[in-house]
This record gives sequence, C-alpha cells and structure tokens, in this order.
Amino acid sequence: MPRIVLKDILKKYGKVVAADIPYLEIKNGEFFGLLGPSGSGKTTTLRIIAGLTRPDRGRVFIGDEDITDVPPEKRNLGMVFQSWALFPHLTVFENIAFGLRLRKLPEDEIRKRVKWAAELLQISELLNRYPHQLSGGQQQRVAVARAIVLYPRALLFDEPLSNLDAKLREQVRFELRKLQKNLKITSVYVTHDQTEAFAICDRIAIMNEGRIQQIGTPEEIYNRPRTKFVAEFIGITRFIEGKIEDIYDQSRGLVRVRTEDDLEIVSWADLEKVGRGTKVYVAVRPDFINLASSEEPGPNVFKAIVEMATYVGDVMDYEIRIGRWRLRFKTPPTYRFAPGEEIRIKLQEEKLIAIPQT
Amino acid sequence: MYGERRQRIWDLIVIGIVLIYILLPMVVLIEYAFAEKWYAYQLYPSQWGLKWFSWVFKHHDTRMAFFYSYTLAPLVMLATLALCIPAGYVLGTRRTRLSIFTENLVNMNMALPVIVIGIGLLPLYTRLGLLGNYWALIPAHMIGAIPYTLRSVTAAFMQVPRDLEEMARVLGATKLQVIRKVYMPITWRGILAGGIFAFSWSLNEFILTLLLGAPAVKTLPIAIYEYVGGYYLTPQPAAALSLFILLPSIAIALFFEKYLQVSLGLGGG
Repeated sequence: MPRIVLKDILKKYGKVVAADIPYLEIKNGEFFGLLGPSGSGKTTTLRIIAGLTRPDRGRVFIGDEDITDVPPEKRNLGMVFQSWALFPHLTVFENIAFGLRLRKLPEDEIRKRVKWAAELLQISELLNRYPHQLSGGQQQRVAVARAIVLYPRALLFDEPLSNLDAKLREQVRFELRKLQKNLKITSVYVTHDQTEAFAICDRIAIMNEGRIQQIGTPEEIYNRPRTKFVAEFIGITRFIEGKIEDIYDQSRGLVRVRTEDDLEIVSWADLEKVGRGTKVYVAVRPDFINLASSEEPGPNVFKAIVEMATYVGDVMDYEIRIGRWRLRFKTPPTYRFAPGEEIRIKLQEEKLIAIPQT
Repeated sequence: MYGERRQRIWDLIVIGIVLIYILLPMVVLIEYAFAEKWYAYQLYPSQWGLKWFSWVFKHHDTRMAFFYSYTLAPLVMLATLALCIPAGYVLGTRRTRLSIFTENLVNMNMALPVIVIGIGLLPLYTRLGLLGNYWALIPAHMIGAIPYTLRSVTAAFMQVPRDLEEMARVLGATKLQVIRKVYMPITWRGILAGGIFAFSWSLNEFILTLLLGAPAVKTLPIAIYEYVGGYYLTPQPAAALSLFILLPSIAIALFFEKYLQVSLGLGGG
C-alpha cells in the first residue's frame, strides 16, 4: 500500500483558512488520525485527499503519483462518511457492489468480492436488506464493506462512528483497528474524539484553525504536547504560568519555574526551545499529581486546598488550589476529602510540561 | 366513550362534505353525458345511452379538438420536464440565495391569474405572428405548468442527501453516472408526479389557448365551452366531451397511486 503525501496545501473559504499544510506524509500501511475541534480543517484535509475539495494551492500524492488533478472517481480510494451515505434505493449487496459494477467487473467476480467483504464485516445475512431496515451499527459495517471491497489504495474515514451510541462506538473502534491492520491499507481517520483517535490510530496530527499543531504517536501527543493548544485539547489540563528561573537537571530536561505568586515548580521542558527567562505555561493533568506524605522529600510538594469534590463512581474528582492556581486531581474513591480541607500533594516533575508562551 | 362516538360523527360529517363537494359535479356530469331522455320533473334520466358521444364525434371541430388536446398534453409534459429536471436538480441540490429567490418567483407565478399572463403574451404573439400557431401553444401551456412541475421535481432532488453524490463519485461514478445511478432512481417518483402535473395542466388549459390559439386551434376545453357558452346551450354534448378530460386525469391518478404503492412495497423488501 502506498503512502500519501500533501505538499504546500492551502485551501481558503473567503478569508478563512480551512487548511494550510506545508508538508504531511502518511506512511505506507499506517492508520493516521486527524484530530481537532470542529472547523479545525481536518475534514477539509480529508476531502482534499479524496478529491472532493480542490485545494487553492499545493499537490497531493499517492505513492509517487501526483493525483491533484485526478477526479475523485479515478483515485480508487475507499471512504466512509459520518452519515455512511448508503444508497437508499439499493440493497446491501448492491450498495457494496456499486463501485464494482461501475468498474464493469464480471458478475461472478462481483459476487465473490461482495461475499468476501460481507464476511469480513459479519453482515453476510443482511445482503438482501435495504439500508432503512438496518440498525446504525449495521449501516456502518455496510459502509466499511463498500469501501474495502474495491481494494482501494487508501481508506478515508470521516467521523464514521459519531452516529453510534457510546457502547457500540467503543467496540467498533477495536474492530476497525484490527481490520486495518489485517488489510494493511493506508488509512486516514478524521475525528474530534481524543479517545477514539488514541484507540485507533498509529500516529495523530492535531489540527487547529487549518494548521497542524503537532504530529506524533498517541503517547508523544499526550506526554509531550508542544503547544498550549495541544495540551489543552488532549485530556483535562490546567496551566500554571511562570518564568524559567534556571535549569534544574540538564540530563533529565528539568527546569525550575517560578510563578508570580512565588511558587517554585520543577517541570520537564524541551531545552532546545526554552532557556532561562522564558515565560512558560506549566501543563498539569490529574494523573501528574500524587498525594504526598508530610515528610515527602524533593521539590514540587505543595499544600493544596480542596475546593470541590465530586464522586463519579470509579474515582473521586477534585478541584484543588495551590497558591492562586486551580488544578484537577483524581483519587480512588477510598480517599475522601471534603471541600475546605488542606491536603499535601506532589506534582511529578518528569510529567509536568513547561510550554513556552508565545 | 360517548365523546369518542361524537368525535367520529363529526369526522364523518367533515369528510362527507369534502366528498360531496368533489363528487357531486362529477355525478351530474356523468348523468348528463349518458342521458338520452331526461325531463325536468325527473330526478334521474329515464333513458341512458351513448347518443351524445356519437353526436360530438360527428363534428370536425370536436375531432380536431381531441387531436390538439391529446397531442399538446404529452408534448407540454415532455418539454416541461426537459426544462424542470435540470432546473430542479440545481434548485434542489444547491440552496443558494439565487435558487431560493428563483423558487419564490416561480411559486409566485402560481398565484398569478392566467388571464394576466395571457394579456401579456397576446401582443407578443401578435408581433411574432404566432397567433393560432399550434407549436406556439406549447410554451404558453408551459408557463402555467412549470411552477407545479418544478416544485415537485425540486422537492424530489432536495430529498437526496448531498453525501450520496460524493460517495458515488469516490466509488468511481462520473458526474453523468451519478445522475443515472443515484439521482434518477431516487427522484423518479417526484419527476413522474411533476410530469403528470404538466400533462393535466395542459389538458385543462383554457384561457391562454382561447387568447392565443383560437379560432385556428381549439382544444377540448374550448370545444366544451362552445357547446355551453356559444350561441346555443347544449349541456349534454359538453358533458360527454368533458368526460374526455376527466377520464385521463382519473386514469393517471389511479395508475400513479397504484404504481407508487407498488414501488414502495418493493422498496420495503
């Protein structure tokens, strides 16, 4: 399966930049995610790959072929829409066979291929039904079968699970990933749902306002967000603002940050991007915080006031305050702190991320 | 329980009024058309027969009226559809301000009295030397037919989700194939309905035909009018002739209803 490359892509609607991508390479056989809030340009990017939207500038390649000027029907891509877009006047069989018939394949080849795709997605017994007789989950499977039956050069998914209920969505995620790994088709997956992208994709591009903020594996994105936007978009993140005072530990990449209200926080930072005096946001997530005993050694041990405590079943969810900074903190429900109570916490310095303010 | 029964009686009364309103003229029409002897003091004709039918067919003018009406209607239908299918596609799939403006303008045409259009067309046709020209009646009939046909066709295209077109393209369909394999199978019912609107409009058209076609071209409605509104009052041949406008309409309506349901049944699997 070939790779997909976007070069110097620009698409504007009026003055709004819908997509501005200097370079993006989706590797051979990889499941690649485009993740971002609505209007961030992820769908526009996908549609440019599909040929449904023409970029104002730039080139699109599949393998070594420049497909920028190739109409969508000649690109041989598989696509699954959010609405699934099944043809209401055709049976499941004919829906799946639609592209095969356009390619004028012999009837027995069409039957063989539809059977193959239907078995793969476990919809063999639905082939004579019409779309309106199917559940949402079944429709979604038909849409995927219709996309893979063409042996496409790449698969494009545009939020294919957002119309399913939460339980089913979770199950289908894993199935999609398994299917893609078995078929080894280069795939691009657009979603605004972080957990979905993390569960499905090998690598993810975080998009905002038409631009790619960061590309990386789910771990890289979660652990080392490069911009405040990425840190904020992924997980529950709170920020502490301050200035880098000095390097705390060169080899571990740790810096000492001082806030205006004179807290001293040791945090990880990308030492190539920051130095003494750089103003930073220190990103803090609930799982970066531990409870500390009273004689816990080392830096980053603070007294915190519990502002709010919420019981959500498997965890206790707290809003706590150190100095003037509000943080979110979670414990097992065996711990119960009441609002107003003072607790000791430790911020894990290796996990904290100091992101330069721009 | 008591209230429910009273409700049902009211329902029957309301529906009954509508039915009487629709059916009474037809009943009288049929009575007149087949009555050979019917004295004023009788509630029903005393002798039934086909006298008036053979009577109207003896007249050359009436025979020509048949020819004109029954050839104009399908021609108007085809021409109107040829115009309204592409127009309905554009109006139905691209809801721009221009489309909505156009739609409103065309709908306004429905409320416009036909006589006003006729008065506008009369000097135009006179100048162009088209008065009494059979072919020139086609566009004249289309003016009244287009709003109804276009509405029906546009609605049919609006029901097709935009996604389907794009999906078909990605699956390998050219623009032409999208129309043939996606739009046509989904919209044909609306298009058929639109065609029937145009057909029956043309069959019923009176004012424009009278102003622009007569006396050279007289269609059935004009022939009928001449039996009752001319120099002598002869409602019976008029009634007999009217059946030839009424019957195709009823036949089409029934056929349409049945065909529509058959296809819905198929769709339901």
